[in-house]
Amino acid sequence: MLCEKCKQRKATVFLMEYMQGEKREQCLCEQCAAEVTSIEMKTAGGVLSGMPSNSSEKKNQVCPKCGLTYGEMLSTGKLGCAQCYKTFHQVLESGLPSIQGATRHVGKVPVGYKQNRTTEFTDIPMEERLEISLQEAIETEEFERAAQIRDQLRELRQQSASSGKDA
Amino acid sequence: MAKWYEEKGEFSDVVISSRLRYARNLRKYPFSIKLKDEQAEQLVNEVENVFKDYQDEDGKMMFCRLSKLSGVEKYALVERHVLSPTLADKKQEAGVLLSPTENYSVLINEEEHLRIQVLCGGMNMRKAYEKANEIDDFISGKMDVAFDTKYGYLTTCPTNLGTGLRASYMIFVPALEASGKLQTLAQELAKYGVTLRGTYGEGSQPVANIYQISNQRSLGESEEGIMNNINDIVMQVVKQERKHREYLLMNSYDTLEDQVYRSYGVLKYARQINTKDAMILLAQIKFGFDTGILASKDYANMYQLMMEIQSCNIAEREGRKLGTAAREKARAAYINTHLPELV
Repeated sequence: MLCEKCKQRKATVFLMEYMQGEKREQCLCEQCAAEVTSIEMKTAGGVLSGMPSNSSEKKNQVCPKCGLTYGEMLSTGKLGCAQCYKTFHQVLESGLPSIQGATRHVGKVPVGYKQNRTTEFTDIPMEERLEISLQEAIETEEFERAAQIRDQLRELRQQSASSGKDA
Repeated sequence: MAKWYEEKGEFSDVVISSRLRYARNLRKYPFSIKLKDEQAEQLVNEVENVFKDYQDEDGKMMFCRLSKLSGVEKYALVERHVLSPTLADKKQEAGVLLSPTENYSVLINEEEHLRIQVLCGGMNMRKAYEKANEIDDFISGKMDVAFDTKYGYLTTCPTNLGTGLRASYMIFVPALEASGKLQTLAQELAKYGVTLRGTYGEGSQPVANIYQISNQRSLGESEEGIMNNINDIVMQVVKQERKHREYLLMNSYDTLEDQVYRSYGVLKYARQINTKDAMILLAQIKFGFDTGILASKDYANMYQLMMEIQSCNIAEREGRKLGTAAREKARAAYINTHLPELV
């Protein structure tokens, strides 16, 4: 079956969208699906290579604290400092399930540890947090929740765009 | 306090030791792959200073800068399961804090900044866990450990992430190995997130039917959960190994008895022997004691002897590096006098 959008490549993605309560279904190829959505396709490969393949911006990522590059991280499978977990959290979110079968710690907390430090994962920008939740929702096939998160994300981006213009 | 290899722990016919390791990093330093030489120095010094305040019923921990140890001394510690081969070969400054009994230690600047490790004889992960927690709490109370509510303890290698816990049992499985079932067992274990490795851990070959069995995953399950899982699995392995031993004894007791006594005879009177041959024969004697073919007055601690006849431990005892021939003579002489007396 050919992609409904470009009508050239083979359709491999079944896209179901909920837009203001309305449902729309499309069969697309990977490239077109990537263009019309914020969903990025995964590549196969090493433990940490679940990184979105079509995002050159992310490929150029460098940890501001230790200087570890995206490429170094993928080739060694190792991280350079505590900050790297924040810098590369999207890669980790997609890579960890295959290495560890989980993405969230359950268990011991250091003695006297105080939450909500500036280094906490929970302190990352709202936009990134929503992106991660969106990816999670898609992976667990909770499409209605995914649609809600996507709308939240869209609203947030519009807000930040308009406030950027005002400034 | 007894050394771990002097204790006769539970299920000691199959389980030689229980070891628990915690991987920890300090927030203020880059992790090992990005750590500069001067930062490695600082890290080693800082941890050394912090541990000057640490004391328990065994006394203070001894600090060793690895650059001050000779190759023989470092490898003697590898043979006694204190240092990992990675740390012994490390070019950058690194250190080890070692308890007087060698039962627990803290490795500084290995793959992770700190690796707390505790060893207990036989099947006793609980005891190792309690001691490791005590040392871990001491560290967290004094230094800022890299931790995140979502990801847990942050590590260089994502395979250690979360609890940073690696629980491993050293097991002696001659009957399972003889039955050719280990390959299948390893595949089976992998399904439960458990790995089977050689005697000295990752990438090492099994020696004398001795393997390490440890948890693969460290994230998404509590410390207790990880331990319970591996305990259940090791209990299954113990049962299987015992069943296979029973079967062997039932079907070929005379052959086994002859083999065990021959091995004893060879080692009692050998004049020179290499490590590999000595280990094979010691494993057969161990099998003899564990199954009751042989009996001794006191507890026959074969694994202790197995460690003591490794090349670097011999060199360390002799106080000098020996050539191959001299070393093989020293090994044979040591075994002649240290084999448990039969009753």
